[in-house]
Amino acid sequence: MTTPADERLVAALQAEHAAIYAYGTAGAKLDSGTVGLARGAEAAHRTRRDALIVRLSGAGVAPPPAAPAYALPFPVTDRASALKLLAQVEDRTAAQWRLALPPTTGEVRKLALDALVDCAARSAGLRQAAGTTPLTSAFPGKV
Amino acid sequence: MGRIVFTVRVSSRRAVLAAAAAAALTSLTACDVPKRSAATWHSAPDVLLPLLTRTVALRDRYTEVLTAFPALQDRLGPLKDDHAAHVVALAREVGLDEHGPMPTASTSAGPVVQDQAAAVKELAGLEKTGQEDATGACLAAPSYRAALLGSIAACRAAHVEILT
Repeated sequence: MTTPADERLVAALQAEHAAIYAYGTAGAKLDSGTVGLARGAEAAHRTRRDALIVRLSGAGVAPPPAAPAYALPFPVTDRASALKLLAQVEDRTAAQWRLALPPTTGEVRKLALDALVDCAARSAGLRQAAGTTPLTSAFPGKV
Repeated sequence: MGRIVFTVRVSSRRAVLAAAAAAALTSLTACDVPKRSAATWHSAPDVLLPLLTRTVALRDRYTEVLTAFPALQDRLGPLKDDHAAHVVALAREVGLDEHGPMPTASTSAGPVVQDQAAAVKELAGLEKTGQEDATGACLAAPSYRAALLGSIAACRAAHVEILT
């Protein structure tokens, strides 16, 4: 039986799949000043995706695969639109992880919290690189 | 390639909200005491009061630094506003009137350093400590408080990111 916590982790995995796709797509439009930031972020999303797949499989839940492609909310044509997309992706991923906090406890909640914290920090870093404001929100992941 | 994301997103968000609502309901019934009732039933201080006190102190440190260095307003003002929002949210959570007096720390943080960069660095250090503080609170919290405390930890992490 799938628990509420498992359902939240499945949704988080889907968000991580989409984030990895977005970094793969937007990364090509970044410059030398931001490409390192994006590479580190993409690697972090892959690590989290893998941890989720292991955890879900261990719990007897089939981890959903990534979609072959994801439609972007707007065309990514340059550095500015790439950074804007990635900041939005981090915010959306943060929201999924935030939803995973209430139904989880212990190390699973820690996994979700670490992910939420990292998404919020990356979102702020991306906004700072893009020169957009506000850089932060008081309650990351709250929608 | 169609507009997969949006179609999927809309339906999954709905499912997410439904799942979250169901989870909240289940856990409330199962083990958590609603906050208002908890305040009524127990005279023991709320476990979040120390976190609220430290959050007030963090907000007030920003005020002190901004008083010393008004030129930092554009950079630090929004961060201070985030902390002020946390104070309001935590005060509500522990059942305090958000417009009333707030608990304050017994020890003062001392005068603001003369050097602007050093003052910002001190704030970054306080944010890092505050992030760990909220992280611990989130991990120990009942389900109904986990999202709020998780967001506070995440916000402080974002502050660390842009201050360092």
